[in-house]
Amino acid sequence: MRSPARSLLALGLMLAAAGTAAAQQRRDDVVSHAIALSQRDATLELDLASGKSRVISLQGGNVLVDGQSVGRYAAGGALERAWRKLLGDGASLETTRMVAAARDWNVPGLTGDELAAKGRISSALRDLSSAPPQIPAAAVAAAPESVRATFPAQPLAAESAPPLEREGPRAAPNGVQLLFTDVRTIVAVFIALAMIGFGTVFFGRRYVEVIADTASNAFGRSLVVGLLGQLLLLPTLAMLIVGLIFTIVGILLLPFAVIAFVVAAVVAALAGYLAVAHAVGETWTRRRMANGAFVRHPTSYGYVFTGLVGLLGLWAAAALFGWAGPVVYVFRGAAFIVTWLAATVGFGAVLLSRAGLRETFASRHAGEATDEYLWATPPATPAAPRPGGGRRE
Amino acid sequence: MKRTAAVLALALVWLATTASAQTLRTLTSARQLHGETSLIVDVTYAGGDLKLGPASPGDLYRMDLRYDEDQFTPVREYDQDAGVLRLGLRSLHGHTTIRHGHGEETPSLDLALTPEVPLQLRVDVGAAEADVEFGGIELRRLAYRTGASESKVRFSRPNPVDCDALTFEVGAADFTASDLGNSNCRTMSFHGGVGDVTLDFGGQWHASAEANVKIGIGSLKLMLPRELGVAITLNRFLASFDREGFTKRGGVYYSDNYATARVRLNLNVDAAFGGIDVNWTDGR
Repeated sequence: MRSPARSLLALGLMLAAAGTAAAQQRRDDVVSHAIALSQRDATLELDLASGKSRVISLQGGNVLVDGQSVGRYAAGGALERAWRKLLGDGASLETTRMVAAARDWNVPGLTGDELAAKGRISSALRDLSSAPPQIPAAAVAAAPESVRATFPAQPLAAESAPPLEREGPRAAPNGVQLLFTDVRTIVAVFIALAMIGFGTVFFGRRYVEVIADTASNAFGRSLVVGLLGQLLLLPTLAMLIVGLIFTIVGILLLPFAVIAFVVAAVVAALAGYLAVAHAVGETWTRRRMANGAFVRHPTSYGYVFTGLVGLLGLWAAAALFGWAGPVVYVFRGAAFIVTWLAATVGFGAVLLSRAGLRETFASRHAGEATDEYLWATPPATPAAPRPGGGRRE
Repeated sequence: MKRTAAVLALALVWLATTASAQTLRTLTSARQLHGETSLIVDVTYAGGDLKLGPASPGDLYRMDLRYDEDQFTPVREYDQDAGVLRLGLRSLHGHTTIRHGHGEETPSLDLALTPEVPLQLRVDVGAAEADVEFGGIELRRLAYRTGASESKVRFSRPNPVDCDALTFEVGAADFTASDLGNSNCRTMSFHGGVGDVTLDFGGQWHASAEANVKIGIGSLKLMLPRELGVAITLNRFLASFDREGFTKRGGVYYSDNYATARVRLNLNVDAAFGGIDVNWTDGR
């Protein structure tokens, strides 16, 4: 009885040892690989099922296995050439075949250090196998925070995905969203116009001033000319097209002419609008100064800025009162009319002043003719002598 | 005098050689399937040329990278317990743009992802020229973000699984997305900054969907199949809209077949400074 018991014990130990070896084998299975080639190094990295990796690299004359130098090789020698060829050919292989190719790798004619280094590489590959392991199913729920932030709390399985409930179009955005969107748009437009205005003043201040003065000194005339200009824009464009077509040769110029006409019209309207903003800002600033307010360095930049604030103010009011129901339409209507009026007058002023070249209607005001500057320049009238002429004690 | 000239000549030669110095490195990496049932994939790419598409059967991924190893480092991480795969190329010095000297080679990434495992995929691309094919890849969720780039994204084949959400975030770019109907996504979002954007909603539609499109400055071209019932809720500022084929009711533009269509697309479009063009297509 003792003999069968011993046999069973021995069999059990053998099975356990075999199981441990099998488990060890699975832990050394290669599950993926990477090949890196550059002038500096030629590296093969094999990822193991255990989570570790085996890195074999030829770098700077050293053969490295997992970062440790295990031998030397001659740069450009037989070992390096054969290693680079192995890795180059392996770039198109799947992991299993790559591992097999590496294990079967043979380099004839090696001697000395290179032969020893080749032996170290082969032994580093010997323990590895490439049987495909069964990795546990991925648990997305256990994903790191950084990844979950990208894909926040959503069901992974398609079956658990909620059905699309809403067949109709999206519900209207709430008041706060509308307010935010409208205000953001107004601010963006303001910044864009201010930038264009500053650029225009920087490069053509004189012309802007002439157009602005034309708009303010000949407001009615500018309005009428602007209206007529708007009405005649399309007929003029049509005449231009017809005229060019009649000249035959002009047909070639037609696309350029049409684009140039449209660009010129848009630029004229925009420049006119900015000039009106300049005029509004200048008028308002001078009024403040006349009332005794101190304005440091009144410049055209400030006028454009102030004028744009004034002109876009109604749009801002419309945006801010968007929640107030029908009142917003009053603001929007007023803002639209003011904007159209400014653009029309500005357009007319651009036409009247020939884009700021003609000052006929500009006639900059003579400051001394008004009392605006009285705060800065006191009257120089000499005081009459007192009767008796004596100094007052 | 001769000595000065010689020094100058040497300096010029040195400058010329260092200006074009580039330590090119190629990296090929592959992994086969080992029983994965789903995966989160995070692709980061600093910039250059990008190709992305489905891998061969049996491959989890295959990545071919070519880059300057003095400027970039590859990303290749797989957390098998969490089911998270990170791939790509990252700048070593924190640059978000790619600088090329004259004659230098552009970095490139050719990436293939498994068509056999459902993915939650995030693609983050810097300044790149991207050619992306999602057709055939099982997408549960997609987030695609790009900076200044020219991106062509296609869904040439239907997505075999239901997709919860599809998000595109595009900076300054020419962007074209084709056959979005094949994406099988119920919710689509597109956020664009500046550029020309084409969204082609062709492909095979299995269920109704909602798409939110926000675009700043630029043109938006919507390609809509005629058999699709389309409703567009439009919020625009200084943006033209080609309303051919639509009827406006209560602030919403409805296609003529909206009430009877088997599948509907509800589009919410926010646009400023640009044009919105609609092209009706015959679908497929």
